[in-house]
Amino acid sequence: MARRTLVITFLALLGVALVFFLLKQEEAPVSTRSQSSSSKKENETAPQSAAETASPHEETKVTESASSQEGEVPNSFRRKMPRDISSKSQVQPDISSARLEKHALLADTPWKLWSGAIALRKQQGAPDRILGEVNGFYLAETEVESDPHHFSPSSPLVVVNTRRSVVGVLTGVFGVKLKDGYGEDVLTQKGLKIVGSYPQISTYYVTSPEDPFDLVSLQNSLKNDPAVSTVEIEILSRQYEKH
Amino acid sequence: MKSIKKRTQALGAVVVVSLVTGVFFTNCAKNGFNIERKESVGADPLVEYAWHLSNSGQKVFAEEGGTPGNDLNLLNTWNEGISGKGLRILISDDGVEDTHEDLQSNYLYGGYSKNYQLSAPYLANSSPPLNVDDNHGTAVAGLVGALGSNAKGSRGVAFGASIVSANFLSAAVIPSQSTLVDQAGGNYDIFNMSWGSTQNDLSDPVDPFLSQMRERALNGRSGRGSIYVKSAGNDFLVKCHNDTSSYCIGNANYDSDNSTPYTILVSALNAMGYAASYSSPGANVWISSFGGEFGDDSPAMVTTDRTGCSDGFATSSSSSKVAFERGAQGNAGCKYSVTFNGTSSAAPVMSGAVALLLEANPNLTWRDVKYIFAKTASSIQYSTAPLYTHPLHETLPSGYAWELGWITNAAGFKFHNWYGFGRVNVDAAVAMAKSYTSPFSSFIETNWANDRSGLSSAIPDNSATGVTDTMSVGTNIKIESVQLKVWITHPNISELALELTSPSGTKNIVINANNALRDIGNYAGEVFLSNAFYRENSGGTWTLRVVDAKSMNTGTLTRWSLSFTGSN
Repeated sequence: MARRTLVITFLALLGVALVFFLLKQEEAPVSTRSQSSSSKKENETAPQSAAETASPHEETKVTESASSQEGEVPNSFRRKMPRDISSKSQVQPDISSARLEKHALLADTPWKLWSGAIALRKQQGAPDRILGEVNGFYLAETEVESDPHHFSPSSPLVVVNTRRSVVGVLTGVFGVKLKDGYGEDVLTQKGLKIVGSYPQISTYYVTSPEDPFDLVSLQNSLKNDPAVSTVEIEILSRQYEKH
Repeated sequence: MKSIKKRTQALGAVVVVSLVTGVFFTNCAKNGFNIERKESVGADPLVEYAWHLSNSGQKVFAEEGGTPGNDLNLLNTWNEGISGKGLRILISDDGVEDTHEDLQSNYLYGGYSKNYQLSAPYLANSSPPLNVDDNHGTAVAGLVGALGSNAKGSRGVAFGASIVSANFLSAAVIPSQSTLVDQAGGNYDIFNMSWGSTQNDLSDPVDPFLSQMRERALNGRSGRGSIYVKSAGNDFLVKCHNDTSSYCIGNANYDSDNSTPYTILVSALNAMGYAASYSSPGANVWISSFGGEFGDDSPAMVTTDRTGCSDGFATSSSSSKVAFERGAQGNAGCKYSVTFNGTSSAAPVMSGAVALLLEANPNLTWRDVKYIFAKTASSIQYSTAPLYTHPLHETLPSGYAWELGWITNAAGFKFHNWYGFGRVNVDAAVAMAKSYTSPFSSFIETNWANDRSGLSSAIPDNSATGVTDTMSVGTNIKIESVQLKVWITHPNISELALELTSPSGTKNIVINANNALRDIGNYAGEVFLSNAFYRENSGGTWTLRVVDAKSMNTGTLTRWSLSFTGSN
């Protein structure tokens, strides 16, 4: 009797367990998914990808034979369909009709001056007509010709890298690396304004305290200083994006 | 005797019932946040959503959950009382809300933060968000160092570490070269940089920034070296160069900030444990951490958010499919977010892991840290099979492998351009750190001593064979990094792949063909980093192969150089 009760209890429990287990399986997270639900951001459709057939496999060891054929996506390349999650895009300047001038200031660089364009800090507010945006600056047209000999920090010059079709802002600051044994005093004695001081790498960022000032003569003065190892004019062209 | 038999039967019944109940009903094997694991993770109310800390397959608020076990594997480390205590981590970002209820106790006041609205040297008591768009740094900080067991929010990987911040990326600050250099300096144990340039261009390197990182790596932490953790980027899919509509494949190596040996460059995994959809590939990736997906489809990351429903990612007007982001589902006051993602997340998770390692063994150098994480990382979706199709189905020369699968180099390290050395494994790394003997002797940098110039090697058009050139390297060191510099004339370098093969026969595709650099002409001495040859010997013959994988344009390889770091 006791044995029969035991067997019946056991079978009943087993049955309940089986039903529970099957239900659980159905509820389990689905590990493969259609791409369509993940492939679209609002108003934006990403292109089809060979790697889109996301199939989350557990780590699978395979032998060294490269057995996959064209059209197949090997395990280590499976991923979901990417969304475009790049940061807010800026207004890209159209440089196709820009008047570009090679200037001695930019010798040995791929940059050219964009004559008739200036940069304005965004904190100053947007100008009436924006040519584009670069890294915290609006680019605007100006009637005044770009003149590095009369440079004003409040209206930096605009430069273009024609190889990469990239626009940059020339801020009037120079990065100076000093030779061993020299310090910041070399630069302050020249009457320069120190914007950044990094003695551990012998590097200083300097500009003129005057407004306007002659960028070209400041560059030459630094280049010809025996204490100076290298001089680079600061061009802000990179837009750092939060990843 | 009979009573013993009955007793045995009864006992047997209890055992059977217990087993059945235990196996099928307690749900403690994998799929739940069982009591033991929950105690290990902590009492913070949102920590059960932190799948990167303990992945039980929780859905968080997404349509699907992850794969159990795909997490940092750090609970043993935490149980040993290691939480990053005594470590100082700089979050270089757009500012951190230091007064946040889940951050304030770990925020280090006293003039260690940097506020770039001030004049040099920029030091400040804190550097909170200054603009409505400055939401990123607060989320990043929570993943590193949100307080643990305070009955609030989730917890950071290094919940005992000290957090300071630099608002380098604040919308209220114009990042200059000087501030770029400055935010990489100072006496911090770990620098977290969850940012970079868009990977559809060859950005100009800022040499002083690279010098600053080198200086801190060699001299920070009283000579043991500060650790730079940087996000690889979210540009697996990116608009092609100077194009507003077409998509291309990006690469973490296009960002010149990522091509130095002094960083740990981190790619992102999702809750399933494979490459996050957006994560940038690159030969310069060191390791994979966790960044999640988008929170609606599959889990993103739970972290701190700017307080209040009018600031931050979680706001009352959020258009997110996840109601938590509008202050519902337990997020009163919108102080937390469950949709933050990206390699921006993977980096601070990794920074936290570094802090745990350094608390376990404070004598580790920056080179030791990189070594231990590489040595203990787990391969992801291990397969050696190459990819013969372009991810965007662009036509390739017949038989050409666009990307390699996992390779095992001659020093025994497994490497993949999408994952680096694999998924970070904290418990294994900490265990190794505790009884660690460094294999390294003095740090050697060859500074581009190996150069092949004056070449005029025509690159065959649309040919899988490409053109090869070899270079004999006499210096024999155990490699810690290889940098490649190339000069090529070609009207559209996006068509070109750059493949490097070591004297040991290890091959790495440093730059993949048909990429995002569309219509850029010529390589002019750009530098790319490869970690694939880690701990191999540098001496012998190196081979560069350049493949033009599209018809129409032709070009010429004119020069290439190699620079190694390592030790004897």
